[in-house]
Amino acid sequence: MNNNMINFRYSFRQTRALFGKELRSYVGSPILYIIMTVFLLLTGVFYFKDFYIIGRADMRQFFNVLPFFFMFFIPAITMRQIAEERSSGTLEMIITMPVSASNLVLGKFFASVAIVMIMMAPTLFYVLSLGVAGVPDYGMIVAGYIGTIFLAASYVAVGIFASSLTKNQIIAWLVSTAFCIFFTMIDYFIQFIPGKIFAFLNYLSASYHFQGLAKGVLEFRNITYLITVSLFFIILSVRSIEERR
Amino acid sequence: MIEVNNLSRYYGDFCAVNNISFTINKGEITGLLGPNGAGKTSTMRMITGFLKSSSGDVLVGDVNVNDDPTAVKKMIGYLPESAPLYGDMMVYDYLVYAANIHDIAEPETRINETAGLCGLIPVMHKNINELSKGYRQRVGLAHAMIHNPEILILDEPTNGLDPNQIIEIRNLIKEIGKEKTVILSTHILPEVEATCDRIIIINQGKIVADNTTDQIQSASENSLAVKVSLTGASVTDVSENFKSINGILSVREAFEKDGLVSVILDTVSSRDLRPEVFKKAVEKGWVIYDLGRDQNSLEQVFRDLTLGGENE
Repeated sequence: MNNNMINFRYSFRQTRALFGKELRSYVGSPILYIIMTVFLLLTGVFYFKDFYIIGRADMRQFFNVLPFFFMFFIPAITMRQIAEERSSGTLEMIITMPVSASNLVLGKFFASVAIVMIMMAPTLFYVLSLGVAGVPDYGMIVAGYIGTIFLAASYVAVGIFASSLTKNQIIAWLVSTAFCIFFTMIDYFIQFIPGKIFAFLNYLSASYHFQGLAKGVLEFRNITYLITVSLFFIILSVRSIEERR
Repeated sequence: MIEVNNLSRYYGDFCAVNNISFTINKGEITGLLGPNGAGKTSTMRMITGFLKSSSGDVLVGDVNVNDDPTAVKKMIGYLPESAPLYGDMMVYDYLVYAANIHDIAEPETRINETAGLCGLIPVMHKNINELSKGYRQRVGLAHAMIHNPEILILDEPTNGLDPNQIIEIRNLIKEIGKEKTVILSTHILPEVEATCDRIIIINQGKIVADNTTDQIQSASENSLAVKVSLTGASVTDVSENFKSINGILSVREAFEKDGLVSVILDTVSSRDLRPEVFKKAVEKGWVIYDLGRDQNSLEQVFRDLTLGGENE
């Protein structure tokens, strides 16, 4: 019927529409502002707790606790993504339009990452306050923020996958938080395991790789790891949408 | 235009659609009729590619849905049951979104055309969840038509609307159906009579009837029923006397109210038996208040087909 060339043509208009729609629905919903406020309050407490004591102009403490906050807050952002569309029936509307599942998931993925970046934006005031208090190592802070983006991306991918499994947002939140706890804390659980197994399990830990980045070392293998986790769960989400028909 | 071959769908052990086949020609308005849970929605979902078939094929144009779902989705506009929409979006924004998803070259022109056709101009800048059910349904229709598809598939398009809205939506569907191939599902009989050229009746996942609306209607008229109300006799008296008329198969729904006895007489022949009924009443000295054909004859066919006689 239609010539096949059209089907494989990438549509920027489509991606932009999906991304824009997701972003707008977040910005228009009170949930985002509640999550942002709580997140900023809690991270602020941890940041300022040691601000004067240590007498060091860095954000190490902030970046140290960030994965622990992310593992609760990011699932709260992503939990509605596909679960809500499944329960309200709008998923049926989208799937029956000429949208590929991968385009749909990517739109949601990038919108969620953008939301996390918006949520993180006010923490840039911390950097400013450091500049007032002393002479911070800006290189390290930039590396920390770059690491944050990749860490957030991997948690978002996990959250979207969990959201694609169920109609229930609470279940989506619980499942993705459980996954995130596993990825964040696995290096804490395995302190007693010696040798090569330790190295392998440690390599699976997201926070291990993130801390590497947060120390200011933009190491290739750390970024590769976080990108791999993101891709893996994006692919799983696409499969889960395509298979559950 | 649409070819369905030996299509089946199981949910676990439950068979929702059982080996059905039909072909729908270009330009037809086809009604999928059946009681709730008959497999109408599952069938439609398999045509649109939303649901995977357990076995069998769907060809739209000449394209197999399983081989190239995207090509099929471009040809089809689909309105799921109860029009699920993003409530937090404005109608205009939603149509822009749908137009962009379909990658329409000049979205603005097309949005105005579709909105005009569906009567959405007055609500363009309202949020979808502020709309009445009738308007929501129109937004759903506009969503299905935004890319000017050749085929429209509408799942219970008038469900939950008030009588005025139902007539509006039906007229809209008829208008659209002049140019497009339309499949709509419903469990309301007058709906198919009013809008469809062809009826496919589905029950328990199987096709029990597939014909033009006219033929199904005349088939139902062949086994005509006569409705009569009279005074001057008891229910049993009336039943027994009418049963003795040659050609009358059975007497049903006989009851007496305020001295008026009403019965419905099922006939076997295509011959109109009203004169005989009249003569019989005169002979017995009964006074006839009403004598007519049963209005709900198509409904009776539907019930016969879908209940398998278990109600009689």
